This record gives sequence, structure tokens and C-alpha cells, in this order.
Amino acid sequence: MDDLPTEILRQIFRLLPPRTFYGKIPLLSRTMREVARSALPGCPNGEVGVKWDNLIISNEEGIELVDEFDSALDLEEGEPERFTLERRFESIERNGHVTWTAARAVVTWDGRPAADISPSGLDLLCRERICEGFRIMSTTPVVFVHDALVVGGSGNGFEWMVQRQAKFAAALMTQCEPRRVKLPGLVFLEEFYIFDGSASTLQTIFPSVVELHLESVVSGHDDYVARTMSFLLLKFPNASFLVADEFTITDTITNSIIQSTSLERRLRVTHVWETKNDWIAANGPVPIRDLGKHDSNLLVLGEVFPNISALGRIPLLDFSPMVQNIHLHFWNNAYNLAEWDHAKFPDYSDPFGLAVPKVADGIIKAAKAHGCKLATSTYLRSGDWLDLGQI
Amino acid sequence: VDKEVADRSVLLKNMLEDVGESDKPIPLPNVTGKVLKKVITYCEHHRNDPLPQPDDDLDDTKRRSDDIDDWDADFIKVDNDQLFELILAANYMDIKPLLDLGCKTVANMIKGKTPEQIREMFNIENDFTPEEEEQIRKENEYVSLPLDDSMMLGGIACLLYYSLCIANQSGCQHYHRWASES
Repeated sequence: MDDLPTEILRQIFRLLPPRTFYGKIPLLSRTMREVARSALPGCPNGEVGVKWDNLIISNEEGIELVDEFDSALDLEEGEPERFTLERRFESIERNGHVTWTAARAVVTWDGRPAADISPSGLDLLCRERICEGFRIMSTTPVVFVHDALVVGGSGNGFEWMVQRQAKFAAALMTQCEPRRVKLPGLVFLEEFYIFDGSASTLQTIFPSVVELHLESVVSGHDDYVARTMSFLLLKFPNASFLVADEFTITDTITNSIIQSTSLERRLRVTHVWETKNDWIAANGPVPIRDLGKHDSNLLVLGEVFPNISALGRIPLLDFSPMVQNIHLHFWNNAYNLAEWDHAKFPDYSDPFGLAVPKVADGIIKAAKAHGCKLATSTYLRSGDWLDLGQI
Repeated sequence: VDKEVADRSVLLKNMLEDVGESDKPIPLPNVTGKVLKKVITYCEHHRNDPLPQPDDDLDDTKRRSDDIDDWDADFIKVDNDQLFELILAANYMDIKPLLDLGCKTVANMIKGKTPEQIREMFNIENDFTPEEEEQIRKENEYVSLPLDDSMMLGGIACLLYYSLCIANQSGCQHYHRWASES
């Protein structure tokens, strides 16, 4: 078998079920491992990420589309929020469907008229109407099989999603594996990675993580802390919570900061902060200086509030001289102008996050002013790659 | 061999078109007589099949390995050495359906086997150190998890989460804060 040309070996491997492809072939030999790494079209060097192409359609159309795909997901008209997948998944595995190339994401919602289905409108829909689709990513194991995204188990949460029938029949998976994440819909994946502390999401992004060291959570929700701990304990029985007594209850959330010393097998998250502008105003700048004692890498994930007056508070962040590599990831929080409470927030003027680059620039300047040795920063737009391997 | 049969091979088809009408033999240095005989048997049986199209690779059914018909399944029942020779010959002679058949057969042989069994079956030398092998196993254990276990964990996590949500409805608002803020 070693004598077969690489392209033929790739062709053979593409016919294998995903668990064989990912779980067994790399173990055969160095050669086979290398061939497998390059076997997925469009994924040179095994660098794979997940790209979502959301088709937003009505329930009825969605069901038709799902039927047409004969996907792994079982969707019954009338109660699409409940379905069980195991049996069909096993069937697909048995039949040797393949995990490669592009598949499609189908998101159905309850048919309420959408204000806007432009890209920013999509963002809005994702947040307000169909974010369940992203929640799936964060709360259940997902498996890509052939052209379908298989969401595990009957406990996938859909039974709670009355009137919000969101479903991923499949994902547009151009590239998928750890270490690189493409951002289109993944703002939520990113966000849940922080906010709900979902271990499944952590492992989606960092599948090799076996130990998680979480030092503190500062949250605006008392139950959030407990929920985070519960999730993490489920998946990471060896997780250590070094300073759990530092958990602080604040109000709600607009910014989050993660500092990690390693995104490899041992993920050490020293602080997960959820703060609100009010909290920053009351407590002063977030003292990142204190967080920089451990390591030189800082990953800042920031959500830019679409209120220009609030943006000025973000550069209050104070950077540690220890921080050498700063990775900024901002996403804009696009609101529906029609639904915006202009009386409450009269200065809403940045519905599409146009000010975000300015904010990022401000932080970069602040970082440099505070002596960052290598202030490498990125402002990631939707569709950009967040290369976790560089962090 | 009839031209119709020879045309199953893109290599031969192109060569015949280049050479034109001729009685001269066409050399196939990379294919042994025994394997060539087997290839001709395949091509004769499939002489009336439609020729594969360039975009056939995009067809999902081509990515399945469980759609081998009875004649092909019987045809491909050969030892490993001859199987790989057939694959190489199909690749060299550019006979895509035969190449697909060979690849599917090998894939079917791999399915359900442990890495050790696959190595033994195809004489693959394990050139990993035990430490490297263990490392690779751990890197890939997320796909090796028994499905039921991972789903059970996901289910438990979901139930736990939503139980918490029910217990404290405000917690759910956490996920819909944009809507509630607006």
C-alpha cells in the first residue's frame, strides 16, 4: 500500500468514514498520516476550519431542502424542533459517507418577516431569531459526516426552541479541523466559547485540550458562573479552578477578555471577564496589567457596542508590559435600527460596526504606548481567519 | 482488442487518436501481462457503459464505497498485491471507473479495522515511537469517543443547562441580551 501514489491514497481515504479517517489513518505510519492531512480538498496541510454558509429560508422551504439533501438530520414537519439523530448517523457511518468538501447550512426560522436579509441583516437574524443554530455548536457534540452536520442526540436543545426552529442540516465546510477558525457565523461560536463556557465549544475549537485550568470568572450573572462550572466539569473532570473565590458578580456583558497561556493540550484560561460599560465606569479600567504576569500572549475578544459614546471606554484597557502578542478580535453588534430604542440610546449611529477599526486602532496604540514588545493585532471582519495557531 | 474496449482507457484512446489507423502495437511498459488481461476483462464487460464525465467527482454517489455491483465485486476479489497492481494500472491507463472500484475496495477493507489490523493487512510498517503514537491517539481521541458517550455528555450538558435556564429565566436572557437591550 505504501507504493500507491499519494493521490490514490488520498482518494481511498476520502471514502472512509470520518472516525476512521481522523482516528485511525493517522496512526498507521508517518506517510499515511501526512497523506491523510492533505486528503481533504481545499485543506492544504490539514489546516481546516469551518466556514458557514447560511441559507435563511422559511420552515417549509427548509424542510423541502433538507429532504432533498437526504441529510443526516431527521426533521419532521410540524415539530421540527425535536428530532433524534443517532440511528441515522450510524447508518451514514456504516455506509461510508465522507467528511470532505463543501456542504451546506440550512437555517430555518419561524417565517416572521425579516427586516433585512443583507449580510448585516443575517447577523441580526442570527442574534435574534436563529441563534439556536449557533447554540447547537456550543452545547452539543457535532460531527461532520459527508455533507451533513450531525448534531448529537435528542437532547440537542431543540425541544426548547418552540417558535424558533433553527436547524443546521449541514454546514458549508470548506475546511475543518482545529487551529483555524473562520469567522462568518462563528462570532457566536467565539462568543459562546467565552460566555457559556461550553466544553463542547472549547473542544470544537481546541479538540486536543484535555486539561483546562480556569482561574477566575467575572460575570454579570450569578447563575452564569455555576453554569460555566457545570459545563466544564462535565467535559473536563481534571479542570482546575485555581481561584474560584474570585468570581465576581457584576451586571451584564459587553466586553470579554481571555488570557490564556496555552491553547494547546492544556488550556489555561486565567481570566474570563464579562463586564459592562457601567461596570468599567464604576471600577475603572480593566487591569490587564495584572493579568500579564504569566505569559506573553493575550487574546482579546471584544464586542463593540454600537453606541459611539461607549466606544471611547474600550481603549481604557491597560496593557501589561509582559504582553508581547496581542490578538484582537472585534465584532460589531449590528442592531436593527427599526428596533433600536432611540430614546434610551439616542447616539446610536454605527449600526454596521464601521467604527470598529477605529476602536481596534485605539487599542493597538494603547498597547504600544504601554510598551508591548510585539503588538501584533488583528481586526477580524466577518469571513476572516482567526489563526489560533499563532496565538 | 476492439477499439471500443480500448477506448475505456483515456490513455489508449488519446494514443489511438494521435497514431491513427495502425497495426503497430502500443507499448504499456508499466502494466504486466497478467494485470493487463484483467484490465481488458473489466473493459470488455463495461464496454457499453457511459464514459465518465469530468465533473463526476462532484457527484455525491461517487464518494460512496458501498455501491459496487455484483460483477465488479466478484471481479475485484483478488489478493492485495494484484489489487494494488490493478489500481496502479487503472491509474496509469486512466480508466477512472476501474480506479474508483479499486479505491472503494481498499476503503471497504479498511473500514471497521483497528490501526493494527490495517497495518497487518497491508504490510504497513509502524514507524512511530510509542510516545508519538500515544500523542497522535490523544490528538484524535475527540473523534474516537464512542458516539453514545459523547452524545450522552452533550445531552446531560443540555439538560443541565436548560434546567438552569428554567430555574432562573433571567439566565436565558443572557443569550438574548441584544434583543432585550433593544
